[in-house]
Amino acid sequence: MIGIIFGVIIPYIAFAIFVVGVVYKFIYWAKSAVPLKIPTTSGQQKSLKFIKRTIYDRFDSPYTKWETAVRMILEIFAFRSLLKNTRYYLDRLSQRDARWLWLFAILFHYCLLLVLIRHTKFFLEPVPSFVEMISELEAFKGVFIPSVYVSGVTIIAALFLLWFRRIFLSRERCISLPSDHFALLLLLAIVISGNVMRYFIKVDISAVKGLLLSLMAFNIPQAVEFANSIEPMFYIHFALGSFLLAYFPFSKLMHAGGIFFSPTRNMPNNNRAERHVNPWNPPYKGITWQEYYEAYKDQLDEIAESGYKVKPEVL
Amino acid sequence: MEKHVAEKVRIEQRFPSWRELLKPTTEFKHGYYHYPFRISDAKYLELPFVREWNPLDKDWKLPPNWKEIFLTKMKEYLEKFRSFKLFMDICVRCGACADKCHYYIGTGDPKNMPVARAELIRSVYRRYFTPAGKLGKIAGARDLTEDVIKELYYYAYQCSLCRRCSVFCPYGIDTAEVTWIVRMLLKEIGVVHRFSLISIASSARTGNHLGLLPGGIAGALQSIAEDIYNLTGIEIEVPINKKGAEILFVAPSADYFATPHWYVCMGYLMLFHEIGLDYTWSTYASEGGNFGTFISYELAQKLNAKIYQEAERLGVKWILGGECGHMWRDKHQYLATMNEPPKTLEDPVSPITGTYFENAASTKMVHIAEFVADLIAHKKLKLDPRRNDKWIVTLHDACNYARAMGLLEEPRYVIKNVCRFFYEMPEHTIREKSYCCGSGGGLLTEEVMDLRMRGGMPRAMALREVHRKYGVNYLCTLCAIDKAAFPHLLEYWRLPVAVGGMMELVGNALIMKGEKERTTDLRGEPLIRRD
Amino acid sequence: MYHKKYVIPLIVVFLALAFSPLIYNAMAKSLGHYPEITKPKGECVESAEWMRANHMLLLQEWRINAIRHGAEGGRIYHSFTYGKEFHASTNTCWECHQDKTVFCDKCHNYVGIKPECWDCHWNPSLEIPVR
Repeated sequence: MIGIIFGVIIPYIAFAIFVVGVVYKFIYWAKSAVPLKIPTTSGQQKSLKFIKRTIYDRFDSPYTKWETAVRMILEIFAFRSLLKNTRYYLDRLSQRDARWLWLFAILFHYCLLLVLIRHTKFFLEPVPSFVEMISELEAFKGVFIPSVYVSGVTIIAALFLLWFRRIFLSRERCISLPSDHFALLLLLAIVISGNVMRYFIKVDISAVKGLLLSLMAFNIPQAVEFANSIEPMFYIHFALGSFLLAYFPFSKLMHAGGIFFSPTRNMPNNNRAERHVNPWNPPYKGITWQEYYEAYKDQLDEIAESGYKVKPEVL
Repeated sequence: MEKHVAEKVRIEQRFPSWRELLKPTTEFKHGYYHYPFRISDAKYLELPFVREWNPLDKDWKLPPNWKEIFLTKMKEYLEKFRSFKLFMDICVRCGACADKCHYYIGTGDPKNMPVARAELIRSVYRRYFTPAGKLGKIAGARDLTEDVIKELYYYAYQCSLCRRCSVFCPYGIDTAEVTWIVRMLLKEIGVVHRFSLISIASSARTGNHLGLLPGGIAGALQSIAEDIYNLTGIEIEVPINKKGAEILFVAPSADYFATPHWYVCMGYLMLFHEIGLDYTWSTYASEGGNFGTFISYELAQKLNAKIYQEAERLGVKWILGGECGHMWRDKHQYLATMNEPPKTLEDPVSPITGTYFENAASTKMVHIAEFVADLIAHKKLKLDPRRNDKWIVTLHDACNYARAMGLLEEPRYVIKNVCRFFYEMPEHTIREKSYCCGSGGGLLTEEVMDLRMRGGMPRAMALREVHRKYGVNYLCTLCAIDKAAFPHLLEYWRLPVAVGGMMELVGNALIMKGEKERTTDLRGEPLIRRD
Repeated sequence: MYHKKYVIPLIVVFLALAFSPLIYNAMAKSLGHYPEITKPKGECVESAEWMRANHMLLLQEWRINAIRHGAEGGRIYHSFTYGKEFHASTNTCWECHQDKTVFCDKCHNYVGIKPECWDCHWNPSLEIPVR
């Protein structure tokens, strides 16, 4: 019974919610207009020939589409803005590095990427050679027997570090909502159960792969058969993972998709060179020159009489 | 003389729990809340629900269906502004922005953290626009009550829209955008502050924030020309409303008579006379700044549309803009979107050097720093930087043109050519990381003086650093609001540093044809030479 | 919907990524695939289900016992399923599983695992180079 519910029904539902939810969110955001071009410029604009722009300026204050694309890529793959983090000290005026958040964040996200890539061996048949290669590389194959995957262990550390920030730093504690803790705890539960399963309480992973491939083939009877043969430990990991998938589109985790839509990052700083059109631009409502002229006729006529110019009164 | 003993400024940091943070603050501290609008301004601008009200009262006399209006308008703005919708959804509360806000640094009020400021409206968004919001408090959602409106008013007007947080946010969440939309929403239920509305109403009526009539502008320009005559012995003709000029010049209206803006305006006139520029001032479009951008899209459009209308009427080829901060956010990012550039304008080409300003090809509006830098690079100006020897200069990058335009090197290029002593403030307080003066975004008003002085603290401390280290005695800034705010701020923080603009330094250094020997600088103070 | 030029490709890329395993397997014609294993006759040291998940732990235990406690009877393994005693050695395995390629490798390849054991240890499928 556990197998049918957590091995067949819930994964299908969770995956459906995930895909539909993410696409819904993309469309939900795309349905809103972008009235203004509002890039945050973090570097020198493109202007005159002799005003030099460094490589950083080009990507922090992009002028062309390609520069903007590079800015987005740096933002997504290197967390460029977080890397600028500095901390303010009242008593010290020199800059102090406070890039711990960047370090923890990049540690977590890249470990997650590696973990996900390694997990594709349960989804892909035959297993692509690069997945095997990545697994062997990050385990320093042969150092430990059985292999210990570095990313799988580091991700726990990174998640704890990110969580400790929220617990021990007063500022971060004060802005953390229950959902922030929840997301971290959910991820922690998933990675810890995964590691326990890998090193201590073993399950039949060939059956796991059989289950996943049967689910993909919509071969329900076969999937049920596999599902029933897998140990309960697997379902802790699998059910939590399914829950994460379903939770993803409707939570702050959707920042992964949202970054692509961020108007302060995905627009080039060429505002004065290329006009941006607001789809709902209202018509001008205000006084015209004619109304203005009638209101201040005498004064304006005086300026006209003096030949549209003023001269200093020289004594 | 009475001896004035300074009161100690204490920054009390509080770290309430998230539950407490969700509770609305309704105790308004003196020096932090804004006065309500004047009836006359609100009526003139046709705002909804014009009435007498007071933020300190319990009853704000909101319209009976205020909640419905607020939520309908919120839905509308979610559809109109993707930024708003997105920023409501994707914040992960990582805290990268928290200590980046100068108001948070200065006041220690947890709700002044950019993330917490946005969370004030985000909690309402969650409650009414997301499924999880039905769970209530545990999901970080809260009901929209009158207290929440009061809190939104209190904190939306404690943000100077400087965008510093946006530089550090990994998703580029721009609190200025969120605050702007909160102010728009509040406007829809008749909750607007006084200061900006006075200026917006004046500007809508007379063409400039100060409410100067055409005669007043002509008179002010004439007085400036007289000052120049006294200084240099040169009679300068100042064209106003001249049809068929090549360039329309637009400056923030403070340049007409405030100090130290006045010296900047002298600088403009001297430069334009020296290079023989065919330009004109306008009384209809006599304001470069745009306080409308502090309140709403429509009000911003109401003010900046005039520049294009006037450019079309006068038949100029392109537009040159003076030294101002939010003006350049408006001109760079808003102007050409809110109004279609008139077909009569031509591509901006400098008549002196022939440089084509490619980066202003569509908006047809060039910044004075770009224009002057180009002149200097082509060696069209005779400059004597030794006339500025009195000043040991540092540059304050105003938030708006640094973070919304990227004008960083041009002013530095000009300043390094017109004065000999230039030092930068600490690296994390300049360029795109520049700290705000604390008075932008509609906060340049007396009643929030405490907030302004505290908000300007990080900038003042950075300035103190270079003042002590290099003896800096001149804070150069290309922003009219800065020029008005800094004198108070520097007095408060006991820094004997003068405030001025780039064009004042240019005016000092500029050697004009047929000028008499200068004995004083533009301020009328004796020239000092250091050898 | 605005910016269809960018949003639709984004959605397509997302869908392609989300369904990439399905597409990959469909193209490799391996949907629902499970390796067929030639099962040897007789019983293993423990039940087949237990062995499927835990054989690596068992081999690890055997290794440790053989190296550390070989002299004091560490090489004798008591099966908890059948209560019988076995000689704790891979040679015991090879008595029934006479071909590594049709038994071990099938599953190992299926889940992308390459145990380091057989880099050194003997197995019956090993091709001994002829001198």
